[in-house]
Amino acid sequence: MRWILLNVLLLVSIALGAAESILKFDNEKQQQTYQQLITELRCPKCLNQSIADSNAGISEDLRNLVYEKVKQGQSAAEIKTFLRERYGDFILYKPEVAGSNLILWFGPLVLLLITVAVLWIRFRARLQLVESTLTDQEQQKLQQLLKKDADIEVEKSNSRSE
Amino acid sequence: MTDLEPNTKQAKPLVGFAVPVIILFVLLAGFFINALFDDKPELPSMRQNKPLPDFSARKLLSQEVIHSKDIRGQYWLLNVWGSWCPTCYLEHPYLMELAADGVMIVGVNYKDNQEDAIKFLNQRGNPYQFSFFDPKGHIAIDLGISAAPETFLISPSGEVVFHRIGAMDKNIYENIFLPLMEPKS
Repeated sequence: MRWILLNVLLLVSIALGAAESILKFDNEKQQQTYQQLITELRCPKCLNQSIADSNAGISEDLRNLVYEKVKQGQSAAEIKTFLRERYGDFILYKPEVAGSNLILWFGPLVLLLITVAVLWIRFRARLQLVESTLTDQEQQKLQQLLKKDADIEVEKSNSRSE
Repeated sequence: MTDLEPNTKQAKPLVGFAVPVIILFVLLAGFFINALFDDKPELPSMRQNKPLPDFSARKLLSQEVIHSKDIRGQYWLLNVWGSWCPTCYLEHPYLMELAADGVMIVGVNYKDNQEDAIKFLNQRGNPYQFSFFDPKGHIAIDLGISAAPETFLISPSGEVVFHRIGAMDKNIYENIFLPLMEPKS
């Protein structure tokens, strides 16, 4: 049993090693660029997959293209520009933080800040209103009126209960 | 007076709250309904209304190298096809009809192997003046192809007038392609 398990593990590791060695890069940075690019580019055929996830023919071709260009020493930005000329912004699975996309990235935050600012200004205005409207004299007058009112209420309830 | 005052004070913030909420609701509803009925093409074509990109490849049926600049002088259909592509079988009879009517069609044989491609043409007929042989799909990426079949309408000056993603049929040819080919008055 143990022997079988060991063999299976050996086979699996050989298979994994083989899959790894298909693509060879000059250095680690190239490999990172490649890995990152294929997850950030969208498959034109399957819409909701990156070209890393997709098995469609066009994704395979695009992966090969990215690989070739990375090997030639092109930067991620250069490769993205190349593909955008052909497939448009659509090809970028991770939208750029630039241009009209800025509205999408920061619009909600700006709206939130405006809302908070408006509420803050209105709240402060209301506080000042309450604090500043009545002078001492008026306060006295108000208290008198309230007292009078309360007296009347008391009288009324007394007359009702009788 | 004493009875009225608390009432107005309560009503005011309620209105102040309800109005923006109603406006927001109407805006959102409008946005959603608009999005629901706005039938955008899934893929925006980057090639439409731009010159056909430069590319060259050997012909499928000979060793002769042809260039995209050779597709000039009159309206051409450029059709991306492959013997592996089911929809290409579907549209093929109509392409044969168009070719018989004198429409100039050039093919891009896409990600195919030569043997299968030639067999396809021998068995079903060849509607193409010639086909670019593009086994690795390089031309396809230059054209912004997502899958076969796709058909481009190329003007006499070499501009892409229309990019059709999917099968070509009579309806699309007569209602979209033909009006685009009429001389502008």
